[in-house]
Amino acid sequence: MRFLMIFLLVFSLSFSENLDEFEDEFKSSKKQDSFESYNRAMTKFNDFVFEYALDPITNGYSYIVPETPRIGVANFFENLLFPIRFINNLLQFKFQNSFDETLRFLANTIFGVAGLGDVATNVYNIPKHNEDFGQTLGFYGVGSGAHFVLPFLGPSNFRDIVGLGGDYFAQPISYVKPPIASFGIKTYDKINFVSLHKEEYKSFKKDALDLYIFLRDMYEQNRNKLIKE
Amino acid sequence: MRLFSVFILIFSLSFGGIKESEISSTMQEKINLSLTYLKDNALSKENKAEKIFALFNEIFDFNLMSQLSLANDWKKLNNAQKTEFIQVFEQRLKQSFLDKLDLYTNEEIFVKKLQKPKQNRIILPTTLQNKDKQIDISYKFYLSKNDWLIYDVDILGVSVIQTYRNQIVGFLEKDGFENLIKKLKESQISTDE
Repeated sequence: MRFLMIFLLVFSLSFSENLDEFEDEFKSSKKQDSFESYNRAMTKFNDFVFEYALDPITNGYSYIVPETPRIGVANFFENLLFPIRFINNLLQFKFQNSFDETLRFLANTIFGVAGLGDVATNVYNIPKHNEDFGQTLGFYGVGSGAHFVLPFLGPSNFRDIVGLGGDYFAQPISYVKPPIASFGIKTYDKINFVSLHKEEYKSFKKDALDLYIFLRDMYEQNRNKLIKE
Repeated sequence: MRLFSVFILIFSLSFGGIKESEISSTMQEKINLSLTYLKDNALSKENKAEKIFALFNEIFDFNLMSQLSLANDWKKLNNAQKTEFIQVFEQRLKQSFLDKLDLYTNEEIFVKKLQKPKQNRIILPTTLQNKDKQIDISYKFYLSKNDWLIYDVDILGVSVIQTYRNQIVGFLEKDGFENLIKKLKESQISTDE
């Protein structure tokens, strides 16, 4: 015990000088979470949907469809989102990025067989520049607004919900008729995506002391990083 | 004799970091070695983790990480609680890393150019090429005396320490220190399932 005390004393001394600097670095902008009780309930709901619907559905799907074609499907849908990335890079004056995205789209569509293969990344090494309308709003200084958990879609905030509206109109699948078919295709895209990444969600979930705060923080920090890029 | 070992320990701790000029090369080397361990099917998951921890232990400042994740609540703890927290928190971070090993499927990791946002801060960005996307992982170093130590890791822009801080503040307010320790330990056990 004495040993531990000495140990403690030593390191507490050696850090006390510069700890304030760290505190500034980690100081969280104390944001009001006006929808906390709703958000918590919706997080529970979404997690329930994941555990009892998405997880078993994607298990079955993965059992039937091997991983390689599933990655192909993910690439295909990702390639189709090209207009969102192109427009939003332009709106943020990132002309080189828009150009890269155009090249990527052409390469993947032509040589990647309608986007099934991501040859732009794997063969031509053209960097990807994900930008969406939420990020563009952030780029022009629009604050995130209150955090808001959407049913099925998960964490979001007021700015990004407005952004989702823009994203909706900039993706070809939204124009598929009838609307139910469009919705069906988007749902399939999501299920395919979840089948590739659900283990990550499960593993990160284990790290959470408080699932809602954990997901909220991850979402907001990640979005801030994307906007800064 | 005991006093002597304390000195040795303190001595070795304060010299655990890396020199600025060696951060990129040392990290590249350690990451490459980690990848070799990860790809070595003859090693068990626990063995892999052990070997990787041995590589990085000396450059992670777990004491500071513990302190930072408790924010202002750190000062409210007595010494025994502080020691207990550091121990449990370090175990927790390692356990969480161990769990992540299951997700590893032959990805490559690329070390990018060092950034030095401040005189006493260095960020080493790396990229992990996953199945269908890239994951940015940044190691954040601070200057401790003459050497550099890691005090935080950003995954996709999400700071591990910041995320713990925001959860712990609320948790301590509601459930208190004993329950926090219990919670941190609990998830360590449940990962054995």
